[in-house]
Amino acid sequence: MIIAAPVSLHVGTFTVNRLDSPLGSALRRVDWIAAAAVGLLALTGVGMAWLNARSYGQELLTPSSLLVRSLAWTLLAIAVYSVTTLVNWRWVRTFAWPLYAANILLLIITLIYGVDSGGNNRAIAIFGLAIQSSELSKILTLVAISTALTRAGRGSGGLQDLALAGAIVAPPFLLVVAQPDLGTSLALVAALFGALYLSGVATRWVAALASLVAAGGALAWVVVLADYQKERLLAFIDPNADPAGPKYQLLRSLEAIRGGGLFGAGADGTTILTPLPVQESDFVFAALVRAFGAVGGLFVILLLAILVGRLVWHSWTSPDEFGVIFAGGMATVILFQTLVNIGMNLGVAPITGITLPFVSYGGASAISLAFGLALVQSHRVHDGGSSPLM
Amino acid sequence: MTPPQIYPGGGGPSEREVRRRRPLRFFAAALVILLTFGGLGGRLMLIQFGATTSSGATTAVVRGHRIVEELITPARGLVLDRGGRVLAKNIAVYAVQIRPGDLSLAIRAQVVETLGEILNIDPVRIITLLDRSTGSLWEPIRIANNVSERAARLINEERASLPGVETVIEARRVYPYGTLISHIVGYVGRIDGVEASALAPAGYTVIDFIGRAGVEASYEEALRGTPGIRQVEVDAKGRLVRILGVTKPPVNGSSLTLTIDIEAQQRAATALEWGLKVAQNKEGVVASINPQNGEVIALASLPAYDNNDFSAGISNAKYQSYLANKYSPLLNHGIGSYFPPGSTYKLVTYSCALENRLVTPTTRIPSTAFLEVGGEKFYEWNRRGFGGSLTPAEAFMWSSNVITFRLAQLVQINRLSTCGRQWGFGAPTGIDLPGEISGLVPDQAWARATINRGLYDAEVMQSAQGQGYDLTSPIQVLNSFAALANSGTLWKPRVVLNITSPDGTITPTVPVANAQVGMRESTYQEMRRAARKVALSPIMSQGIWLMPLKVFGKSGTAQYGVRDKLGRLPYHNWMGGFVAPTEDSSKRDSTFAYVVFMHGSNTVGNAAKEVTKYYLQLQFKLKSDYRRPGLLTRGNFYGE
Repeated sequence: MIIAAPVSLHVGTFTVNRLDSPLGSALRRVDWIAAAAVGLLALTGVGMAWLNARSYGQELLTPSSLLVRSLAWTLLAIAVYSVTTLVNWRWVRTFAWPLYAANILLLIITLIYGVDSGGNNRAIAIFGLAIQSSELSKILTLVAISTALTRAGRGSGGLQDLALAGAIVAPPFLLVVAQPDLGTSLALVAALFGALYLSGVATRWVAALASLVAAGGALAWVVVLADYQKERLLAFIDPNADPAGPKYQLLRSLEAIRGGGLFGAGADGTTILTPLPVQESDFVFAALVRAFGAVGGLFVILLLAILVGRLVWHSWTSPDEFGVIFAGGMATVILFQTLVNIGMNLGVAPITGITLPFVSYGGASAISLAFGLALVQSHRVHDGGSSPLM
Repeated sequence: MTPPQIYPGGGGPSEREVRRRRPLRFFAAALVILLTFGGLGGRLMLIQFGATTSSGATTAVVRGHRIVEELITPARGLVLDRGGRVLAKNIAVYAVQIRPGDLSLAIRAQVVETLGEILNIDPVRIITLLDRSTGSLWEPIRIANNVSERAARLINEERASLPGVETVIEARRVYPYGTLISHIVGYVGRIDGVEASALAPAGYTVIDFIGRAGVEASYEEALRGTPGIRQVEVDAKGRLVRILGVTKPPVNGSSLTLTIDIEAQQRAATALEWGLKVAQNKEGVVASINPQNGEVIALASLPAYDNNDFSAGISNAKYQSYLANKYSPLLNHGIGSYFPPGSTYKLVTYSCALENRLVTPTTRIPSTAFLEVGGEKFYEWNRRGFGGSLTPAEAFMWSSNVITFRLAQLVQINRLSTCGRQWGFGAPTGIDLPGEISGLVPDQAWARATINRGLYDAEVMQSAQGQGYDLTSPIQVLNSFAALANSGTLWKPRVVLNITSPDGTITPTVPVANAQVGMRESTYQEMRRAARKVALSPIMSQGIWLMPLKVFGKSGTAQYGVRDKLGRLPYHNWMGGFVAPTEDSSKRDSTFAYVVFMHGSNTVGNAAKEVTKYYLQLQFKLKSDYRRPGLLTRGNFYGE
């Protein structure tokens, strides 16, 4: 499935001519920096799962412990990542619309049969595993947007693109909001904006869309949101917030971070401390800082920064429009999640159920992100361009 | 700068494509990334090593401190009498504790010396308490409870020289009316270590109090309320640094209002005390109830104890003195002790005979000096008989033993015991106080199971007259007369009228009927008529006939125990009955039933009758004094 054709890459002043074996050329084109960043983040995730499992006093080697499950999900994510990288991304683009339809269907099924899986995500229970469809919807929606905005024979009008993209995002957005999963729905919107912005839609249209979203948000605030949800969102800035309510998690998080110091309490030190609320997903960063100190926290921030940077770089250097939009959207999603999750831990963002990419425990999140990032890798490997399928 | 392009087919980017790729935007994107991650990193460092957090009000939790949850003990509900007077309330008291980890051994002796001086406790005792405790070094050890405010202030002032010593405030229960109503109100005591683990799921901790007697115990759940939870910041040694907030507010306990008015209780106690004093006795009960709904009007049992002794933490010496008192002041004799009922049980025998139509109200039964059964002579109490023959009501009035024996032979033991149970004997009345006993109504089955033989005829006859194996508590006797007054309803006696929750909602307790006696109305009426005859008899009523009240009743003298040197048995005195608005025995509208029990009275007259007269005088505010103290001198009147 890999085209072995003579290729010339101009990167700066480099010209690399390769006529190697398919696999070899593929491996050379993979962005190893990004892959390494993902790998290290996944490793951190497993490490945190191990720590959390001990902190909760779980039996470490049973199938139900956080450690084993995290390991399983991570291995699966690595498999997905590898396979997707090797498969030509054009296959995915071909099936963009069926995938999108499946995405909507999955979201609808989740609404009907979903069960709460901690946090406020609704998940479908399949064979005792919680599958969070909202995580996958981010990627599949982004694929759909990218496909739509790069379809052959499209007009040049920004408004047309805008409307189309908006129409694509709207159904999954509404379905996710109905779960209710405020965080992921905003991630969808962020993906939309990222894709539009980098694809070159005129600023005025982007601004118009932004104000529309803001107005919708204000309306939702007044009409739709329940009091407890508003309380949750405002807890981080309200000085009079009830310390027993959502602020409790924030206070514990801050307390944990402060307790970390420069190098943290160490992996063993944290086992005697009381667990943080939701310390395996929402507050995994605070748990990490408590265990590994500021150094550990900055390391994770750095990894994520590298990952996002590489994605933007790929968007910038992408041979075709699809890559620009898709990579840009992925970068925005990861940036958004990082900002909100770590911000939540640090008390500068409202408390939502958003996970920290690869570090938080969560199978669907890891696999979906692995799929999305691998698509970008695949885009690099199977050189983008307007060449025909395969 | 031109982005690299790949065009396998050759050519280059179209103009449109170049125009679309806007470097500025990517530059902006890079900036956003820089700002975001830089900002997060910077914020992380700020929290780690800075001093403030997001919202100004909550300053950061210092390193090493932790936030823990604590239980907030709710305020215990009050106990009030019917007139709203406070019978049990809470006051704040100080206690002193020491955290051994904060008190280094080097200066311990000196600190303990000072502390001992302030608290007036032997320092050796303090040292013993410290050395004996096996908990962690940071677990506070209670040194003294009920410390005076002055002492607490002194300790606080000397804090610098008394490391490890802390004063805490806690609530203590106080009972303004003490011995007068101590059996009803009860007291609270600390939970001991064994109970603590069993009670922990319900939110009790080792320093909590729990009701141990009276309504404090039987209504513990209502009085306690629900503990709250608060978050506090504690330092590494577990000491409180500051209170962060209340997670769950405590729900204070509900208050109880009793059916008993303290003045009514006082009247009962006064009458009882007088009777005991004059007769030189130590133990007795005066109780009254409303036959229409089972509300207790008064329940006095002597000797009594001061429940304040317990709330302050009773000293061993005092407790031993209570236990050593052979008249059991800690026991509510009204519900927790049983005695042979004597002739008050004839209510059962005679009503049984009438109900089973073995006799009618007009049947004349021979009244002889004795009855011969199986070759044995069973004598009348006056050894003469009452001449000729008597109707059941007349026999009841005279409390004739011989006629009672004859009726017993007609009724036979199984019917007699069934009737006894119908009138509520042999089972607890279900009063809302702890410690009630069942008593005993003997029958053949019981006898075979317990004493391995059937009951002899003589024993049956004894049972008919409330002696022998019969055992009842004063409240059972009371309830039987109340049931007579209201034509057959055995109410569950209640001492609590209503429960008031902290928000002011008043929930009345509901009158519950345990059972119906289940006899005919005509039987009740005839027995009421007979009971009125008793009170009207100049000879038998001991002066009650002179009182301007419509008194109904039956007295009793019950022998018990061991014969003295002269071969005489000691005896109790009983009087049970009710006061009605009219003489009319067809009416069932009495609102006042009473019972008086005098333990081991051995008086010339019936001591219970004297106390009854005094009690009724006080209760109904009569102007004249109908008492005959002379009848309370000691003697041995072979009573009814």
